[in-house]
Amino acid sequence: MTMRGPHFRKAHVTEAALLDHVEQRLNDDSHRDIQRHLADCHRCRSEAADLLRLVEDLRAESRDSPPPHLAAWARMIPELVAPRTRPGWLKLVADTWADLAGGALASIVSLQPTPMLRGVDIPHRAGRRRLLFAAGRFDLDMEIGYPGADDPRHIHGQVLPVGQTRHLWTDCDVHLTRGRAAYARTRLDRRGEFVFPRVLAGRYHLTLTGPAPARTPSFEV
Amino acid sequence: MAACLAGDAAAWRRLLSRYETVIWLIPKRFGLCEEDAAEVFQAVCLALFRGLPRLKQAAGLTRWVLTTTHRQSRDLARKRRREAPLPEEPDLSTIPDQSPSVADLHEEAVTRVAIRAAIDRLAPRCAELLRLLYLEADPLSYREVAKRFDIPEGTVGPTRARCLSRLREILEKELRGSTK
Repeated sequence: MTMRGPHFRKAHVTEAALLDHVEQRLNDDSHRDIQRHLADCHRCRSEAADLLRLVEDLRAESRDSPPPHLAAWARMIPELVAPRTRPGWLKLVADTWADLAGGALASIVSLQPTPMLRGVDIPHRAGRRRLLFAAGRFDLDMEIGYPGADDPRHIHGQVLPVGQTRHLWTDCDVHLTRGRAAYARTRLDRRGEFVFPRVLAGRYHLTLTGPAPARTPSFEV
Repeated sequence: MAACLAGDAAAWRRLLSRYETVIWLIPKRFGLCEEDAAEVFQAVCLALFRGLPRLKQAAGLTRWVLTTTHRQSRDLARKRRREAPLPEEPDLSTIPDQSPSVADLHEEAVTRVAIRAAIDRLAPRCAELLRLLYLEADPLSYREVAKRFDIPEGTVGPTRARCLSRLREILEKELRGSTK
């Protein structure tokens, strides 16, 4: 039984080395040493099997998670089912208009709507409508929910990086504008998502500020 | 549960994060398409929220989520089968029912919920590290994690081993608790 080297302690493989082994992060020599040891050591073999199961269970979590837009929708259920009283709209509109007028949105890039859906395929169903906009470095994936004919709609969106870009610009405001008037403002969260929980029917466009300012064409809500 | 009932939105998000994978997974196990799985997911999440005042006890929640999602998925899968065109002269007696039973799904559902609960109980830095390495659809490399945490790349492996070890301890307690 091989028992010497940095991966062994008291005649057994260390937990860290077993983990590297099951995740195939060791070099060939270390991998072979541990493999030989496992052939003879029931305790380490059982430990390796437990670790492998844990790692696979964790990976399965990401594989089997609901699509982000559904998870985001579910998180909003308390607001959708029992809407709160309206926020201070006048202040919100005044603040937003002040930002817009202050030139915060200089050098805007227009987002182009694209017929192709990227990532999770979300079908158009009764009560929901999905829009996807593309702007080169990122896509804006947006869903409009219609809880009832006369109820306020909600808009949920996510900024998705394109290509090798991993970092989302979460330091970014999202402005909803109706016609030429500022309507509401929110902020991207750490997942690059945003929500406008109560939006009245009308024609709107969205503007993103931050490192990559952009504006959508107008769309019907 | 109590915080959810008191209208705490963060508590609802935490509760949901424990069960959302199970609620999504079960309709997929029934072979439902993405669109139908989404329908089940929405129905169960709404039922869960509306049912909280009646459920009250967290102990039976996994069972409730499992049976409710199973029933919704089974009913929709049957409906879809009825709608599907049948082949000529089918011999229905020879077609086995491939639908998973509640018992089939129970162990997996309990494990999934326990994993989420265990991750919630980790120190935030550990939870974030494991999330980036294992739970993301596109997991980060050690180098990327090191950059994100501003730590030497060589310490990522040992840190994740310690975090996984701690996760195992909590998970074992969670699973022991769920079988009591």
